Amino acid sequence: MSLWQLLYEPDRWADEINKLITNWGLQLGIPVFITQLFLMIVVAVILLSFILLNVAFLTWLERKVAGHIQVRHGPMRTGPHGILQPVADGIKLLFKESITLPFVDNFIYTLSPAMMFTAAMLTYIVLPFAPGWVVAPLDYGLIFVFAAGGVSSFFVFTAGWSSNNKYSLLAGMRTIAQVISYEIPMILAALGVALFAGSLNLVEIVEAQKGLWNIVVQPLGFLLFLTAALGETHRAPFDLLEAEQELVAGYMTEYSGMRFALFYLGEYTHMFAAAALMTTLYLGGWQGPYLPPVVWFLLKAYALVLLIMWFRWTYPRIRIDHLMNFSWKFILPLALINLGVTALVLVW
Amino acid sequence: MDVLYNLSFWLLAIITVGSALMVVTLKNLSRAVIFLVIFFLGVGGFYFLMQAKFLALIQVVIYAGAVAVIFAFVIMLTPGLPGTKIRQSLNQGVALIITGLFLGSMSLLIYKQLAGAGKAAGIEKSLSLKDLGQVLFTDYLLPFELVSFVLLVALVGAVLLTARERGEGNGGLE
Repeated sequence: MSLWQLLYEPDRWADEINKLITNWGLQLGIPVFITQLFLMIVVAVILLSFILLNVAFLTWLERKVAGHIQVRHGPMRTGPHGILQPVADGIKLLFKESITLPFVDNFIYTLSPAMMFTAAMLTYIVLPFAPGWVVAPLDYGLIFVFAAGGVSSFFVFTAGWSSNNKYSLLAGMRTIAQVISYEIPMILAALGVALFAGSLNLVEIVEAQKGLWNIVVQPLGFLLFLTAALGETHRAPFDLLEAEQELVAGYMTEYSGMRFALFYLGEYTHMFAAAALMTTLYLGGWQGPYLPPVVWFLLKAYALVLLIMWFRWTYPRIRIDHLMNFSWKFILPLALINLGVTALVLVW
Repeated sequence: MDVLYNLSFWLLAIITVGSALMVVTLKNLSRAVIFLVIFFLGVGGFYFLMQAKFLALIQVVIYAGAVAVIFAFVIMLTPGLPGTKIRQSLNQGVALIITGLFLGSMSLLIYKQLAGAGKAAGIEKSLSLKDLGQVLFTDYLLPFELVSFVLLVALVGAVLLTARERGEGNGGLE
């Protein structure tokens, strides 16, 4: 196997490894489903380590971006340019006491962070990182992403409610209102892409963009999706549920230690998933000249992440009623028009 | 594959039936809602297992993502409701008889159906989205349109009810 194959045809060698291990297992008399299960666990470990490393990198990146936008340096002391800061943060959070206040609903209070992070991670199952590099190329991958997002936001609400704190409760209510109103335009915008590709399978959507990325065909759809994704992942200027000045830390106020860290993991996991989804839907996924597919995919996704971070440190937060009006009276009609025009163009 | 199928079936069965039991027996309403979400997810898992992938995902989006949220909203935000312990009683004689009869006749029917066929025929191929759209917009167009009309009526009704309560003045969000 040459280096070229290793980098540019990941589907080929991934397939070969799969066949090799299955055959080897058959020779030893191990049933196929056990070797498949073993391979699945290996893939899950790889994916999980990517998710965790990615979150560590993103927390560092966020602080660096914030620093440089505000003409400071950001973290500098731990390692070169503070690159080891996430490690220090992680160790600190692990050793902190996980305080459970009296009068909280203990069962829901403990369950919510774990379930929220789990649901946020589910999205990565259908994301195609490179040809052949997708855990499950589901036929309805696009809907799966939205389903996982909806479940994740439900547990943000229960976390806010179970904390028994009025600020947390307010944040929980805002979550539900915001996620419901931004999920609809997001789905409608994404459906335009699905119509173009003739499929809801994310792999097929990427392959349909060979030569011409969807952002050229659907510029309005991309802008709407980006805006709705900011609302859905509650990033600034729509980060009303953790508005420091009004709600302390929103739904996370009463959490500490590793449970708090789980929420952070969930948030950044969700954010990268949104960026990766935008890459898949509008920026041609892994496709691009010269560089290997995985590199292209990560480059595009991290460029979008940088854009989202840039928004956060540039724009002020908008008010809650403006937020709702903006979604229902501006983004939703535009998304409907976008979908209608796309359908008409495709029929004619 | 058969072993995996059976394993996931029994795992899902335990989760689904267990959480359904928790929903009806828990005295704490807020926790019951959490188990309701887990129950919906379990049912979605069953649809997945039976290759009805579209139905499974719609089940998760609509029931776990929207219906359960509304339940949670109502229960958790009604003052005084979350803390109260609701009464759980087993003196529901009539309900027990009706449910028992229904369950008995259903299982008898299913058993008779399956006894002839031996084993339930596994579904090999899942319905593609195009097939689904074709069927919905040709053979079942009338029911489909009727359902959407009913939903529209419900939507307009909800808007009308809230608009009447708010009255003439500028008492809304503004």
